[in-house]
Amino acid sequence: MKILEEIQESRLQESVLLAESAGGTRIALARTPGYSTRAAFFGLRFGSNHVRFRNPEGQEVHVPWGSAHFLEHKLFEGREEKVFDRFGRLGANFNGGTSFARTSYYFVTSQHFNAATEVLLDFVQDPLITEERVEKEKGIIEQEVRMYEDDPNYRGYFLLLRALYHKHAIRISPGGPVDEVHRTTAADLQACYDAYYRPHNLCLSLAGDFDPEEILAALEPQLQGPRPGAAEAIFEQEPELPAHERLEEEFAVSRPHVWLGWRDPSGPGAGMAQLRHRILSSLVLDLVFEHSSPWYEELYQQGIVDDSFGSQFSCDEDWSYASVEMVTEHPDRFLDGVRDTVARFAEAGPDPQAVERIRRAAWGGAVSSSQTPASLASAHLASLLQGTRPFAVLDVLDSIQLDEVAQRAREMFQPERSAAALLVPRSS
Amino acid sequence: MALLKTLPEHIRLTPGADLLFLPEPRLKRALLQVDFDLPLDAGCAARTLLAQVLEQGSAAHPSRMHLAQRQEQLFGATVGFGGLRAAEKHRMRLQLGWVGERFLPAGETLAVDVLGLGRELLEEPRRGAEGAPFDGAVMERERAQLARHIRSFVDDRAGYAQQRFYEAMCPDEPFARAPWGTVDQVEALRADDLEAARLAILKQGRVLILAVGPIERDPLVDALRSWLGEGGAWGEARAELPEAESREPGSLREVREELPIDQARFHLGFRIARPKSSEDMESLLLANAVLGGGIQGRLFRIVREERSLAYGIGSEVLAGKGLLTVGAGIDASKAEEVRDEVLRQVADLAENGPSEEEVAMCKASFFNGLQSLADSAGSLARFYAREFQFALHRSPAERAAVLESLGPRDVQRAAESWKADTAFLMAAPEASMAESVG
Repeated sequence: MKILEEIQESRLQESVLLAESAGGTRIALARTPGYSTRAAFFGLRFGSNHVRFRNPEGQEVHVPWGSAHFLEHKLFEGREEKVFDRFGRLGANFNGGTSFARTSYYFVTSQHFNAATEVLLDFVQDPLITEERVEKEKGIIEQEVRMYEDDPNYRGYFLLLRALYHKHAIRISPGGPVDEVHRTTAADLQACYDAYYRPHNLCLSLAGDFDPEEILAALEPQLQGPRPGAAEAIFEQEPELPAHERLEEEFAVSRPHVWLGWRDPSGPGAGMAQLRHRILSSLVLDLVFEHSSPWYEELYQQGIVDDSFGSQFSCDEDWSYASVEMVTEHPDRFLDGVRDTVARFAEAGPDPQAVERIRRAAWGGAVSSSQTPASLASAHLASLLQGTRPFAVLDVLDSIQLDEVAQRAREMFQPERSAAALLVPRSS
Repeated sequence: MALLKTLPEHIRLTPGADLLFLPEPRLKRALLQVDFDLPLDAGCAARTLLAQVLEQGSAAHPSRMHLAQRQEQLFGATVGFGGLRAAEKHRMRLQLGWVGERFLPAGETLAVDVLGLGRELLEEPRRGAEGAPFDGAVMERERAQLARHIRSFVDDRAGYAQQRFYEAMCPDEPFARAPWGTVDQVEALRADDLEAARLAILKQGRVLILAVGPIERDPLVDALRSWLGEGGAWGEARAELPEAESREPGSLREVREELPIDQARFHLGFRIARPKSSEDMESLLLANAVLGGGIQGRLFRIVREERSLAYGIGSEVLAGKGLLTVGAGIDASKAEEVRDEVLRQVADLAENGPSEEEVAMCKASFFNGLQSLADSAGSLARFYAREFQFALHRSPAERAAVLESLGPRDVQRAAESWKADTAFLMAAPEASMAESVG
């Protein structure tokens, strides 16, 4: 086990030790003296977008949509005993999650930490995927997919992504369509596993009141040795402008659900560039759409937005978009009002006092989000997968300049990069 | 890690207003939760609209924007006011949170300022012109918004199905009342009704305050005494609220409601004996865990994992009301299979009890939860509030000791009292299930 660096973050009164196993698995260990819980997060950069790739042997592989999520389900089956039973006996809370670009598995416990870590490392690194097991899971996943597809918020969100993007894989939800779930085979999942679940792709983040040296010594024999070779994802070339100016779909809703999004021509890349882009973009959204914003207040006073309004920013290496949403009987009034507001904001530029206020609130948010061992372990895993230093968010927040914010607002809210999506009540 | 043996300091501010104070300097964020309990009655609509109107500004911070800016200046402190259902009570909660002083610039303190902002919301609302209790335009805007929200609640599939299930199971009990009221009630409200609701909350609501985290005791306790303590601004004694109604079920009723949804929502409700002792409570919670309280429960293991009938299924105990409910998202054509499996598992628990292994797994999960409490102000607040509300007043270690003493026979005894009352299915019109009895 190679110790890489110990990072002290005196402002948060936290530290984290970075290490790397012989097989290349990157590890973050955060010691949290006096805390009862301990947490471990194990993840990799492989998500629902990775349906077409060249495997380490050089062969091109196509798998059904939803394969990364299906694989996550199957790993929980365990080789000889269900993971539910193994964690259950230890009393640990655990789960997993698959997003567009990542899959992660975790547990949080206040007892039997070493045994729970063994379970985590074992089931992720040594699965058994058979046709019979895959068939049995299809009904469960179908119900999960249907649950999401029945949710107007989820449905409308993906309608917006289909308006913003022509071909990009984020147009498809991580669970995949039901028919794709049903055509998934054990061979598809095994191909994904063999290509991506390699030691140097995996990252492990642990936090708790433990002795880091003892933990590292115990981890090394449980982590796989070197297994060279890397898969290469194949993504379609995405045009720079949205696919549709506006998409509408009838759905079982009582009032129209409306989304408006603005996409960047491409993604911000990885590492610190992505982190800075994410923080700047979120800051711009806060300056316009937080309750503290005079721009938002004006929209609220005019009745253009109400409490069903929400905003968010999302990006990864190869995509980047901001979006707002609302439930309203007057979709066009909402769309026109928001478009007009962001255009005026981009022209006026940010209020320096507002930037400082939001920076102050963001500091409180950073303290709160490092409250528990679980939140620390999760944040450190995100940093490892993103390729940034843990706690780098604080330095970025401190270093952001007003003119950068103004520049980002002008880039972000270009009218030709926007698209709208509407879920409207069924006519009959 | 040992279980927490601490009990919060209990300070009676006045009869019916209690403060539980648990200083925890280790934590990074403080939490102050002030609950005002009133009956779940026709006043719910006024209290819900009131909460929305109050959040639109106070005398000193005349709009929501000004309130939000103040919270940002207080390093992202949170100040919120809203209502929820707690058995047959309407709980109006003022929830405040702020960062501990060791993370602030030297000389900065937040507790008293944040509490002051919370009080300001409730006590010094933004008034309307010519002595009107509230700004007319703000009230009309918020009224319209609340009415829209109630009308479109149907779009929240899970929440709507649960509410309709409660209405089907408890049609003439206060419990079934939606805590936000009805559109008709909201539309009939006048500004005077909101002002009366505000005064009733402050004067009559049974108060329980939880203060947990890095909080200096004396300034906070003094501030709370001068607010809700005897001789304070709102120091009146507060009457007790009636207990929730208890009903005996007849035979199982099947209710089906149609809605154009893809995934059907299934609920099954049981009437259960309300726990009268610490052992009763833990036996009940353990029995619920064995049935469907988590991944170690039978519903997850059998209905989902063995039979692939659902993705999410679980059970929940509403001890204050004497209900146990099962909820799942399912394929409507499998509704009868799911219902029969749940009934079979409940009958088996009552007739044969659980295995030693099932009980051991549920206990392990509970112990883990009890040990984990100490890391979160919110979890500690929830734990001690519940202990207070059920007059149990135990520490996590004391609760664990009771749990430890229980075995399969105790779980079985708890399950023996469960009586199936209502099976509810919300599904698309073409779905087939048992007759609608409604």
